[in-house]
Amino acid sequence: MSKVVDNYIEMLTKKEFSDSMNFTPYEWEETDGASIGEKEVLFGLCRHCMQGDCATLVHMEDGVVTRVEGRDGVPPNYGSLCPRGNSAIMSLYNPYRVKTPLVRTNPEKGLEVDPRWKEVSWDEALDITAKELKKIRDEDPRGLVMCEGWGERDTILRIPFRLAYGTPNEIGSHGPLCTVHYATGLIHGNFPVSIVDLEYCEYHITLGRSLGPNFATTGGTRKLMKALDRGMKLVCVDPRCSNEASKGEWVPIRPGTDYAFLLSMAHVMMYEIQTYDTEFLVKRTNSTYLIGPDGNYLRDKETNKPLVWDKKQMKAVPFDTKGIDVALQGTYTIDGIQATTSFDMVRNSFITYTPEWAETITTVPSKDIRRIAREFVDHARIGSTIDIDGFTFPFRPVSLNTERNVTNHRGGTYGDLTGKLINMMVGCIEVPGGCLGSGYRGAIAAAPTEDGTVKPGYEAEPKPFHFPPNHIGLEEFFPNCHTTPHLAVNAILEPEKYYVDYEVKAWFSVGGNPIRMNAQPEKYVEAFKKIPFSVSIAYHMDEPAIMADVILPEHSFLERLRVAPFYPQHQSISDEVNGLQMIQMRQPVPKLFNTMHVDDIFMELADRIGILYGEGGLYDHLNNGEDWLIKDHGLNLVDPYKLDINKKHSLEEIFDSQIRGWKFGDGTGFDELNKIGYKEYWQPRKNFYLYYYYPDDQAKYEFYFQHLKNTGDELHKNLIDNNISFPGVDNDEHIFEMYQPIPHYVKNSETDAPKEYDLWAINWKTPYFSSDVGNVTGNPWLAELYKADPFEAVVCLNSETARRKNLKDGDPVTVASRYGSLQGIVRVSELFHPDAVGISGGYGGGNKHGNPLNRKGPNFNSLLTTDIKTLDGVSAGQETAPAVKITKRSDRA
Amino acid sequence: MRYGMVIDLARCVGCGACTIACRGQNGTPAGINFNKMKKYEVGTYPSAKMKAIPMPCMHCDNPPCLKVCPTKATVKHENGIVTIDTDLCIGCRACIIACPYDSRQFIWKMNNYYENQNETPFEKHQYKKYQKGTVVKCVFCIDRVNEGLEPACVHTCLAGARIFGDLDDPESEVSRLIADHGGVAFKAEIGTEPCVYYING
Amino acid sequence: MHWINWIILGIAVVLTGAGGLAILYQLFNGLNRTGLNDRYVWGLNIQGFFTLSSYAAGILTIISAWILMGLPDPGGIFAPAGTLAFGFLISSQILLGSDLGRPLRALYILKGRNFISPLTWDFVTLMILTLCSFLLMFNLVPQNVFFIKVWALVTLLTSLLCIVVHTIFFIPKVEAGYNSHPFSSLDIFSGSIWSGAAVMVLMSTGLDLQKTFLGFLLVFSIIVFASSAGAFIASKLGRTEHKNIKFLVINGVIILGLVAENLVLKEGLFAGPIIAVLVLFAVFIEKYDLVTEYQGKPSLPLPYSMFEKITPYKPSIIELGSLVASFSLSVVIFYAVYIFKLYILPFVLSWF
Repeated sequence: MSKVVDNYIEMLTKKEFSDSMNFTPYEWEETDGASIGEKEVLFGLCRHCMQGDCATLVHMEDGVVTRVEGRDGVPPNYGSLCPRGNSAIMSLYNPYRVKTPLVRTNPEKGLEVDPRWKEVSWDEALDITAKELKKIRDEDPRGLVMCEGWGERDTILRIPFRLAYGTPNEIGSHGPLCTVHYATGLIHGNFPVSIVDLEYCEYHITLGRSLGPNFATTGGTRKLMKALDRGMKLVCVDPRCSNEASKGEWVPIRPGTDYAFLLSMAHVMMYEIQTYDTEFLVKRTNSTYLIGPDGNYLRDKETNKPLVWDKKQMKAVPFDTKGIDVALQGTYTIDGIQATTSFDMVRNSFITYTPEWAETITTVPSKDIRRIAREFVDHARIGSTIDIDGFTFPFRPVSLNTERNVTNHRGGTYGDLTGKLINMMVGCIEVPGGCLGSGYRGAIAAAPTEDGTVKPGYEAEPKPFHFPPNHIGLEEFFPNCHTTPHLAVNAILEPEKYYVDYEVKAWFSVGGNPIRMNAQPEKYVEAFKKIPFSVSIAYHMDEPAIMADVILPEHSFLERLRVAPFYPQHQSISDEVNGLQMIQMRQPVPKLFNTMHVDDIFMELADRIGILYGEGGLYDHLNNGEDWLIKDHGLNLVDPYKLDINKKHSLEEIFDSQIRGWKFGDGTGFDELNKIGYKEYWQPRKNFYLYYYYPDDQAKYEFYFQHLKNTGDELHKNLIDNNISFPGVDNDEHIFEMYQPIPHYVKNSETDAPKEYDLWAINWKTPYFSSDVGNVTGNPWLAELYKADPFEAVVCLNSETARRKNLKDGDPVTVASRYGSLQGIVRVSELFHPDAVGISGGYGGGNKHGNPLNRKGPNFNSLLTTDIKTLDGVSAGQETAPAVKITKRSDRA
Repeated sequence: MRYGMVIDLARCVGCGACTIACRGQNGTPAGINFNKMKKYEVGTYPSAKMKAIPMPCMHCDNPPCLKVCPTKATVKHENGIVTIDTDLCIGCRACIIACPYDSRQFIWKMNNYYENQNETPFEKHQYKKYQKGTVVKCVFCIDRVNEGLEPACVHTCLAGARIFGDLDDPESEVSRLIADHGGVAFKAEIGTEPCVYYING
Repeated sequence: MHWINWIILGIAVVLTGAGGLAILYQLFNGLNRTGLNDRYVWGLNIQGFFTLSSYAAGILTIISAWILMGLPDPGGIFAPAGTLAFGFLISSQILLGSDLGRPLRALYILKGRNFISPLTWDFVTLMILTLCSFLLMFNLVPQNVFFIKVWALVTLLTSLLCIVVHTIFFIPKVEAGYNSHPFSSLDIFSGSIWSGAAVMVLMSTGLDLQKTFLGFLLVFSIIVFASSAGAFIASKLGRTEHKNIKFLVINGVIILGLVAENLVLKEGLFAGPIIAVLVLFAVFIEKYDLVTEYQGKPSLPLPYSMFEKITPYKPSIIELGSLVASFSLSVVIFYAVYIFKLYILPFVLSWF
């Protein structure tokens, strides 16, 4: 009866059946009858953001995962869990997952082209892939590019696989829009960024980044709230009044001009306030080093050590001479050579960066810049100390931190470094209350070189040069780069132009999705079409998957067995996790589909290619590898727990060996951890501050960025030696002016855009999208939240701008940069700088077989470019605030 | 015993973790939100602020919804929690009209979260609790509370912006916060006597 | 029966049949194909229900008041008017039933016995009024002054209660100072009596008596006009949103019509019924204000609701079908009872 009525109604309402006709909903299998009535709780470890460290409990009932919640009492989240973490269930039960190995039968590739998938067995899929990869390896292993990304960060075998295979080409798809690492590597010897010590900080200035609340990280949010309760003053310099800015002071700034703000703030401190932490500058920086006419340290002829000026003896002496009275300022003549102290060198070149100058660029009133600089210095408590665990530290409860939206412009590295100069002037580096690196907390990070300055770590350590370049991402030309898919795509499409003398024959996607998560998607699609063979370890049908020849389906994160060390959090730090060393385990839920663990896939493939066993094989590389980020604090294979490299090991066995060898462990292994889910070890809190390892004058930070200059000089020499010019730019100087030892103002690529591009587009992470992990935008629970959020998936405009442009809330518009365009709906708001066009998160894009939610909303990334001329010359960071124009669309599509 | 909640608006960052934790805990069908998060802004550029206010059921002591319910499907428990007996609800929706807080929702149909897809095993398992054609709302996670746990939204809150406890006990944290910070209830002037208080708003 | 009546009945049967499918759909499949949403939880169904029950209560109020005053049935129109009231009541209850999420549980209202709920009283009063109109329809009230007065008293009080109860639903949601709110009991009450008078005008078509009822109608029209115009002006002055302008205009037209009817078209046969139908329509429009306009506003004040998306309410074909069916069903019941009384009852009685 009701069917008849239904049809009648359908007839009346003439509803089209098109959605359902084109699309067969997935038929879920019935739950196993045997598990009815059973209840089980598993230890979970979240992986719905890049941090992926929240301890959870996964509740199962009748064989169904019914709840994922934060695990009480366990750091770092102590029971709390963010919206993404709470949505994990829907990523498990996701009908758009790849459910079985697939092989393409349609040779034509494209996002909207049906690949005509053929379902195959695992053996078949692995054999096809291994055969192809083996052939390429025999010819030239560089022909394989492995593209990693936030989509898969639970693997421990990707790097050993790549090393065993022998290709240098590993590329993170997510990197170039977040090149935030250089200054932290140079100053703190740390990775990935530097953060504020919210346990003690009293005045915090934050630019282009989030302390956690803006994208809902568990620890970051709680720590900030505690700090604000305590009375910490928060200053957010941001074109958008974010959540954080709403909790503190919002300083609206024109997009992409933070660097000018920083320069003028430093200027005010150098020329107007002139209150420095002199002791810090003299003892713990190279600002006393004398700089010769060539712009390098003036060195002692005998010892080759940098020279400083001793005011007692009135002569230049090696920096580590005992009992001297060192001059911070001044110009001196040594053996007929004029030399100036680093401090004065820097100060002299900052003379023009007045707040009035900055106001014209940033729109921030000069009086606000002066006031903020003054407040920053006033709160620094220069000269005070604090005792922690019986150790006396300088106490500097202020910090200025910069990140992505400061660094991702041409000149961004200088911006980040200028932030360091500001911090150094008040001495708040690596001391309680101040600015701390967020990575390895140990003596290695702070160890000085022969020059007395901290050895640059991670990306501040230049990569070696080869010509022609080995790396398809042209790392040879950007020795301090982060990841470079944007350079790889250029090099793949036009290898000769970039001096690449080999051909890319295979692309291996392991969680990386540059098509959706970088710039110029159409260019990446072209590259995918050009590469003969592409294989994707895929959780869901994303863009690299639909472009692939073979898809190897992997587990969703709840199904993945995982044992991981706790990585220091990169939003902020406080005593909640200060000193915490931990390993956590994720007990997998039963798998739903014919999928495999990503690391089992690597072992299977390596076995079939013949690179699993023996010396130089995958196991050998795993044995000899060390945690890239936290080194000996991580999970490594150490004697006597190293693997037998000639025998197959299960993932559990590998984890067991790693756990037993953990530096802070008790020698027990997998089974013990399986019972409790985590192991924690609390180091004394003093160990967290790198000052502790090399106190007083034992290690110095670069105030004058000699290392940056050295890298640039070396690169310049290499170009000359090989008789080549820098690829992709018209003039080499365009790059080398970024390698000066003192930051100087440079215009970014969007400063002088044609007049009609009169606004700048900005983008930010949201509670629903912090990075492309587990396809959170496709998660329907989160989708319900972002659909209801007034600032999500819309084009935000200041009310004054909207009035000027004759736009109303809800108007359909086209936003176009010089590189691409998007369509969206206007949201008029008071929370945006009048020059900003705000587009949040990572919406839009999508493909024929993917989750339709991924198609919704404006795709900010399509406004960006991979053009080398627009990059920051040091980090290869892409411009994230493109100049745009906004026009009303007549159609209401 | 009278359970109540304090929401610290100075701490709330509007992330919506509460809404999703609630969804996971209660397994509600698509479109149903027991805990709503309203975002708004105050002030004008450049001194504007972004704000958020979470809106669970207020569990009023004088609930208008309970009064209009003709079948007594809506009940106020001794611990102060207001719930709906799904089996008694006739779906007249008078309670939705009566509620001044938009706390209640009607299940027009059992929607799946993945549109145009079949219900997932999770939905199949959890939707058993709900019936099409009835009214639902936040129940302060009464099952959890009866086990001595706090509601899922309180448990998951990143900022510690939600505090749950006994309003009758003057020593409880909720009572102290209301007293110390001048907790206010929404639309208290119409006499609903809500048990959810907001502080630092 | 006049051929016009057969045509009206024929149309009503067709409409009831076609629209009835929509009611059946709602009864069996629920409300998933309505235009209702989280913002507009009550729509055309409830509007129709309010209208129909208001008509019925209006008719019964006038009849029972008439009787209580000791006046005789003028020209035997009470029974047909009662029949129409019965038809309205039955249709309104069917419409309300189909609007329930769980119609089969409707009788739980009796079990629930929540006597502070307006809905319980709605249910009870509608039951009683249905019974009362049934008695009136078939002249089953013992023809004894006492019983007739008791019937009239019960009917009058129940009608009043039924009307007043409908306003109570909205009280908790109205902000402080709700006395100035347009949906006061008086408005609803006068609207109801007004529609009752209109039905009496319809029923007295062709009788001299119609003049008297047209007189009543004019008086009520002026009262309703005055009260809604007052509310309109108050809302304009108070800058609150109130959009009963449509209602006000129709009302004005009605008054003009009535005056014109009295002054000019003294002998016009159809002027009376047309004005009466217009009145019924005006009352229907007034309920639109009550149900739809009211829910359109966000519950929370600014700024909390500044970004709230108000999904507009557009009644679906199912709701329109249900509404048409319920109105036409009243007509069908009216004629069915008439035919039953005219042709079948004497035939059945002749058997005994």
